Amino acid sequence: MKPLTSRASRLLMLSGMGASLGGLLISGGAIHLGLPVMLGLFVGTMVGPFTGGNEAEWARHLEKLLKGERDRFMGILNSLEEGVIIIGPDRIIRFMNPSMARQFGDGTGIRCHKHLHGMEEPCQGFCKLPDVVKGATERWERRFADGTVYEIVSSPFADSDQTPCMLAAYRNVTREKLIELELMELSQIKSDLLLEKTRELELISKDVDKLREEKRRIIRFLSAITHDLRAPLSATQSCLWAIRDGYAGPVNDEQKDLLQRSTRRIDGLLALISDLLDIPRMEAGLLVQEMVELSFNDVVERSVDSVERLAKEKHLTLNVDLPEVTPVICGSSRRLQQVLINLLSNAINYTEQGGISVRVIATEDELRVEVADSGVGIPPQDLPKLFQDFFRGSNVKSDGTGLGLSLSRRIVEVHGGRMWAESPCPETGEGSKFTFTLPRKTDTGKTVGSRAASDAVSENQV
Amino acid sequence: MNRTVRILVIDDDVDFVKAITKVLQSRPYEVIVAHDGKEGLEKARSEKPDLVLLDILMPKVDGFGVAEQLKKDQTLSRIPVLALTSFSDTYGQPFAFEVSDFIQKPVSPKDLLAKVEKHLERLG
Repeated sequence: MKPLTSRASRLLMLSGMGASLGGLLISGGAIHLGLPVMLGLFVGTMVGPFTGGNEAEWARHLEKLLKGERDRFMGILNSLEEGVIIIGPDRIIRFMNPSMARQFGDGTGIRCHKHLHGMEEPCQGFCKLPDVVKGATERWERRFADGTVYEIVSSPFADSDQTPCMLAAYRNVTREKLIELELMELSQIKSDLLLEKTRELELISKDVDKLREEKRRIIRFLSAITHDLRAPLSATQSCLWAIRDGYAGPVNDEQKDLLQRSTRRIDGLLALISDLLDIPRMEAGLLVQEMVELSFNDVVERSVDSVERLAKEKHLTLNVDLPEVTPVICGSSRRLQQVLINLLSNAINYTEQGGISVRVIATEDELRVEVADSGVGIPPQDLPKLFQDFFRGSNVKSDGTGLGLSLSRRIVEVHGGRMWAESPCPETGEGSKFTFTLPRKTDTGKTVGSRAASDAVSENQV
Repeated sequence: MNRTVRILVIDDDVDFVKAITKVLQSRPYEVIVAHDGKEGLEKARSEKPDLVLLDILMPKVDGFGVAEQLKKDQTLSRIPVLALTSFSDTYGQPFAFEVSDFIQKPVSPKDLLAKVEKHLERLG
């Protein structure tokens, strides 16, 4: 409120000066002092002391003094930026200083409501004149039709003829008001924006909640569907195996052969269900929950162990080349083994002579895992389609689900790596080579690892 | 072993239970059946079996709950519990609860008998 303080002091000054003009001092209320006292006060300061002489000289001296005083006060009024107006009790304008006349036009002799506000009747409701002539001082603001705002201080004033009048000082505060208004608008805009952003945030957090709920719903749905699809097959398979192995009485070779065919088909169906349900699980981001820090050589060794028997049966060699120090990465051991077992069993399936080699190359940024074979290779037209869902090679007879490679690539990609195939293998010029990379950065491993613990149960149940 | 070995099978799938009962009865085992977790816990307490075959996904009390209750009960905590899991645990995924072993569904008779024998031998 600084401007008010300075404004107030300036207005006080003004009323003081206006009062002095008429030979009266008005301050706040109405203290009237006689002219001689006033003159006495100014004698010393204006023209110097009177140093003797006759009455005519005294009169001339007084006249000179009075003129000096008048000139001085008129000068002050003329140069004032504030408009000063004196209005009589009949509402007729008795005086306007040049600033007032500049702003409102000279209206001396005209009624104030007519001249200032263009109204035939006195301003209803806010005319201060009746109160002011009785002695009150009013400080108020008035907005004019053109939008100009004035701060007005109206004080009682006895004119030279002793008529109780109203002396008003007008200060144009339009600019200040505009700035005030702009500031208010700005702060309104600011709070509106804040409100809008808060609402947006609320909406976003609602969306996040919805997504979380959606994810939980998917997990529950997959959990239920997996169980419902697998349970009957599982029971059927268990029954068939029990019969096949003679636990329900002797089985002849023909029966055994038919049972063998049935169980093999059910195996295929169970594998297909697992693979099919793995895709949405992967897409729901469930894999991330399984990720922990793990020693990669162990993953490779366990995968190799589980296919070793298959390779031996086909008299294929199985070479494994691992880094001396096992690389530690962040990932899902279970899923990475799934990838490696898939690549290794494919390699074994499509190779009749020679062997398979697994090589892990660790650089600073990533692991490069290569599985190469000396098998039939992949026709060039098949290479681009190799990782598509349900794609089966045109040159091979496969009883797989057609989802193994596409799932493997998804798993690698969820780990932040890439996977591709080459045929023939560039190093050997025969068979094919599958390569995948895994980033070595484990800085996010901690958070991923801790999240894995809380959701481990729900994932296990899927 | 002087008396007949008693095996409690807790599983809600009657057809599956029938299949493994056939396999288990090829040995001198007495098979007690419970069709949900609650009944399983009751029979474990009343029958005091030598071994428990436990399904994981079941109505009322699931396998996790049963395994936990069995571990808490001092008279039952030493009974080997073999979990019947229909998801693949061959990739070495750790489980969130304590059991003696896992048998994967569908159950191969050879695998079932081998694991049951192994855990019964441990008891002496």
